[in-house]
This record gives sequence, C-alpha cells and structure tokens, in this order.
Amino acid sequence: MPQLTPEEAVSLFLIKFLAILWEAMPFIVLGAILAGILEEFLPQQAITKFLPKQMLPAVMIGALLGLIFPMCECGILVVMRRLLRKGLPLACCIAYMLAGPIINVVVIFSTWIAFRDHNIGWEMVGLRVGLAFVVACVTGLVVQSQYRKYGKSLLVDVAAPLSAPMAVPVTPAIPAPAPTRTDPDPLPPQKKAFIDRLGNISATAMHDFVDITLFLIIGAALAAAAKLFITPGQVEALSRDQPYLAIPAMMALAVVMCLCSEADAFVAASFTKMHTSAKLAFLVLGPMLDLKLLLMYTRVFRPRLIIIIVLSVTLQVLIFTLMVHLVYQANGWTGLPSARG
Amino acid sequence: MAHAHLHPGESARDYFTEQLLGLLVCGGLGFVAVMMYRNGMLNYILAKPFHLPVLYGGLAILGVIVVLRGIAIWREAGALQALNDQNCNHAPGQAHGPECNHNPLGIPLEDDHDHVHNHDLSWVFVTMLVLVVPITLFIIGMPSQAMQELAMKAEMKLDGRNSGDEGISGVALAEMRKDATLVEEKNEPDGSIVRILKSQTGLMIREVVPPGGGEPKLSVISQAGMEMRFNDLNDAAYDERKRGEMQGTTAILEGRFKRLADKEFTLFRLKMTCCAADTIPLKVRIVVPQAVSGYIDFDWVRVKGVIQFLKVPNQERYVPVILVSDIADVKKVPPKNEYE
Repeated sequence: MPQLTPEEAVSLFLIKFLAILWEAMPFIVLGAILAGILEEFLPQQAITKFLPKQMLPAVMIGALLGLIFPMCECGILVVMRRLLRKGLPLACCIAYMLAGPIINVVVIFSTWIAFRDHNIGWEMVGLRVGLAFVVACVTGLVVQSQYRKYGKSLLVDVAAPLSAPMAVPVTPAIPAPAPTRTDPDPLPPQKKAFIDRLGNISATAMHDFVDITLFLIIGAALAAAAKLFITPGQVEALSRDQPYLAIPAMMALAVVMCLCSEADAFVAASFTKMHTSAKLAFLVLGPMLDLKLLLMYTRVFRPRLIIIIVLSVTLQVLIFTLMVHLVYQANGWTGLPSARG
Repeated sequence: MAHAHLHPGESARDYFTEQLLGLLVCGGLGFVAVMMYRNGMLNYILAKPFHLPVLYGGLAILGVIVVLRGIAIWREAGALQALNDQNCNHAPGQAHGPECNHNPLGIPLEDDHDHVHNHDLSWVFVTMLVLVVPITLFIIGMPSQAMQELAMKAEMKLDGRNSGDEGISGVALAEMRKDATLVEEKNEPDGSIVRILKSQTGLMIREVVPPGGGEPKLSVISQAGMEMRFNDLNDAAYDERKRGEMQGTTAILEGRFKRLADKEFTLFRLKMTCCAADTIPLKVRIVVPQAVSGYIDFDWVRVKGVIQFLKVPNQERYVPVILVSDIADVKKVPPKNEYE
C-alpha cells in the first residue's frame, strides 16, 4: 500500500467519517420522531390485529411493509424497535428491518435509474427486490424459531415487547392480547393533554436519537478507518484476478462502505467490469448489514441474535448470488452491462 | 418496573441531568446541521441531493426534540417541585394509592427499566462525550477545504481502480497515419507538401513533408471544442456506440494534473455519488506534442484536445485519451469544485 502522510490519513478518515455520519443523521432524526409518535399513539398490540395468524404470511407482510412505510436502514432500526415493543412479532420486525430499506419505492426507483444506462435496469431491480424478500423472510423465520427457544433474552430490554410475557410467543401465533399490565398508566391515554403527548413524543424521540446516534458515530468511525485499508480499486483488482472471489469481495466491500440504500446502486453500477451476481451481493447485503448497522443492532438485539442474523443474511446472500451466477453462466448470459443497446 | 415512579431526590436529579445534557447535545447537533447547510461545509462531504435532508434533520432536532423536550422538562421540574412540597409519606414497598400521584405529568420513567445503565450517570456522560465529537469537529472548522485537499491526495495514492492503463505507450501518430485516408493535399509555395488525413478513429492529422522529401512531421488537428465531463468520457469508454460518436471530436476538460511522463499526464477529478465515502477518481490521459513544464501534481489545468479511446493491451477495455495539438491548449486555471 502506498504510504500516506499522517495528515493525509487523518483527513481521509475524517472526511469519510463525517460523510457517513451526516448522510445518515437526517434519517435517524426522522426515525426517532416516528418512533416517538408510534410509542405515544399506537395502542399496544393494535398492529397485530391486522396481521394474519400464521407466521409465514405475517413475515411476508413484514418484508413488504416498506412499500407502505418507506424507511432507509438507519431510520428503520429506530422505528422497528418501537414496533417490536408495541407487540409486532419479532419475525415480522426482522423481515421489515432487513427488506424495508430495499423493497420501497425510492430505492427501487434509484436502482432502476442507476442501471438504466447499462440496459439492465429492470433485471437488477427484479433480482435485488426478489432476493431481499427471500433473505428477509427466511431470516425472519429462523429468528422466530430461535425466539421460541430463548424468548426475550435475545433482545435488549428497550426492545423487548412491553406486555408479552415470555411464555406467550411460544406458539406460532401472535403474542396474546395484553394481559393486565403490572403497571397501568397513571392516566388513561384519552385524557392526556396535547402538550403532555408532545412531551412524551419528544422524550422518546430524544432517547432514541441519542441512543442510536451514539452507535452511528462509533460505526461511522470504524467504517472510515476500515476504508483506509480496503478500497474499491483493490476489490476490483482482486475480483479480476480471482473471479470466484468477486462475490465475497463485494460483500465485504458492502459491509465496509456503509452506503445508504438509496445511493448504493450508483456505486455498484460504477463497477462496470463486475458480474451482475457480485453487484447483486453488494446491493442486497449492504442495506442489511454493514459496520454501522452492526453497532446499531447492539441497541436492539443481544449478541446471540446478532450472530444469528449476520450468519443467516451473509450465508443466504452468498448462496443465492452464487446460484444467480450459475444460472447466468448456464444460459450464456454475460452478466455485464450490455454496450450495444 | 421496580421503579416506575419518581423519587424526589437521587434519581430525579439523575433524570434531569440526563435530560438536560441530552437537550444540550441534541441542540448542538441540530445547530451544526443547520450551520453546515448554510455555510456550504456540506459541499465537502455530501452530494447536493443530501443537503436539504440535513437542513430538515437539523430543524427537526431543534423543533421536535429540543423545544418540545425543553418545555416538557420545564413543566416536569415545576411538577416535581409541587410534589416535593406535598410530601407524600408511605412505607417503602407499599403500593401507591391513587392519591399518591408521583408522576402527574407522565414523566416517561417506564423507559428507565429498559436500561439499567441509564441509572449510571457515567454511561450518560460517555454517550454525550461521543455525541459531542461531530460538534467539536465543526467548531474547529471541519470539514474544510484543506482537509478535502489532503483527503483527495490520499485518495489518489490509495486508488488502484483505473491504474490498468499503464500498458499504453504514448500514442504513436505514425501508427495511426498508416490506415488513415487522405482528405486534402496541398503543395505549399516553399515546396513542402501538406496533407490532411483522417484516421480510422476519426482523428484528423496534419502531415507536413519538407521540400525535397525527408521525414514528414505529424501533428493533431483540433477544432474549437466544447466543455465535457469526465464522467461522460469514462462512461463512453465502455460503450462501443458512444466511443464511435465521441472519437475525433475536440473536448475541453478542466481537472487536476498528475504527471505520467514528459509528454503525458493524467487529468482527473473526483466523482461523488452521494457522499465523500464513495468518491472515485475519474481520469483521462492527456498526450501533448512537447514536454510539459511548469506544472506540479494536483494543479488545476484546462486542456483542449481531440478525444480518442485506446484499447488496453490484452484486455477488452478502453481508456479515454486526449491528444493535444498545441502546448498552448494546456493552461492553468483557478481551482474548481473538487467533485464533478
């Protein structure tokens, strides 16, 4: 690696750190305020009424929730944590958290725009959305099976469903309607004054904002430091020399780069010599897992669950994109941007 | 929910300390967001479409979190005072009756059971310390022009993406002249012959044969030219149709200078897709007829010349090259925005 002077290294680190931080900040604010509103106005367990009783359809709805409530991966975590507390089943939350940042109108549109000039716009959108959906649903179901075994001990307290005792979610169904709460509200919700409601919203919003921003800052710093050592150029060179490493290399790059899901398609598209399958791995894994998200996950999940999610997501992305690669090969498709459009 | 009510005293003091510190830090972050939008600092780190979200995010922090929370804390403090005056007495562990309203305003203490560490003020201080980092950086003027410049140099050192073009030697005009077609031929009064030739790749070449034969002199003919973007040139390199359209036209490019050889240098600019975390250098190779002097690496330079796309040896890849006809077509220019 070429030698950087200390000033250059520090500047490069700081500019990347600040860029990741301030790009994500507005979306965390949005997420925190939404979380405050949800916490204050959404009645406990209300959301479960609209969900099917079977787990699979419920998880699939969770994965598609982003079409109605579009959020990017930074903001979605904050919102998801409150939904979890409000009794949305963990599996649905996981599916929403993983797929939401990909399966929403904004990201679908930006992905299409990014690859339109390469004449693979719809191809990439279809593959990205489809794969994200499958990965999110399967991970949701895997997590659900773990949740049956370990219950709330998989979650940090702030994310644990408020009134669902540990025994309840054992059945595949939704946690039962709230039993008598040990701690009834001092005032029934209807009688709260508007100003108090605003006060409560701001309390949740501030709490969540501070809580998540702390880990965003640490994650951004980690990512900025990692970027000093791993550059897109190296990844491209590596995958040129060892094509079978292209997919894992792009996955590693997605984890390190911490791009936001609205923008990562443009970066992926700039890898013009990369096979579609490797770009796909980058685009599906990135919004589900990167250094800053990993740090932020610690504010929702306990380490055991984080490991489960990370393993499930990375293995699936690896296997499915390999399969895509093989399908392309079998059909003789190049998987490269077609120049003659 | 062991402590769902507020004991006037220790935990109340902690609660208000935490709230006030949070208020202060959030206010700081919101202020920094708005200021960075206003003074243009965001230009160093974010692409244009992300500027407005930062402004709105900052305003939302100030409005929803700081102002509303400030009012709420102020009211809670007043209520707490009233509560202290009330002096509610009951044995520890005894259930609170309805008359014993410790939390008249619904101070969200249910939250406290969530994280044991919240009672530990040291955790609060550590959190706040980390959150103060971006505020501190803003106060000492980061991000700045100087920082961006240093980061750009570091980026160029680390970049390995477009370095596959080492294999291309200086463009040999003689080579291109071979398959060129004759457009015009003139006999000058001094006895020399001037031929205008057009190569297969659209390049116009002037060939001057001195009187009485001898080694002909070749030079590139450029037109008036128009401003072009590095992005368009680099994109076109991957597209056969676009390459065909662009080859032979005259382009004007402004970017940073990086020396390759006596008669060759790279002109580059950084491309930022969304934020400074994803910048990549876009490069165009410049070939000049005489040795360039008076430039050092990273100078801002304006170049006019004819576009050609050269194939990288042993690869199905083309790189954009600009052939300059006259050294006077290379000029220093004042710095431009780092990102194209």
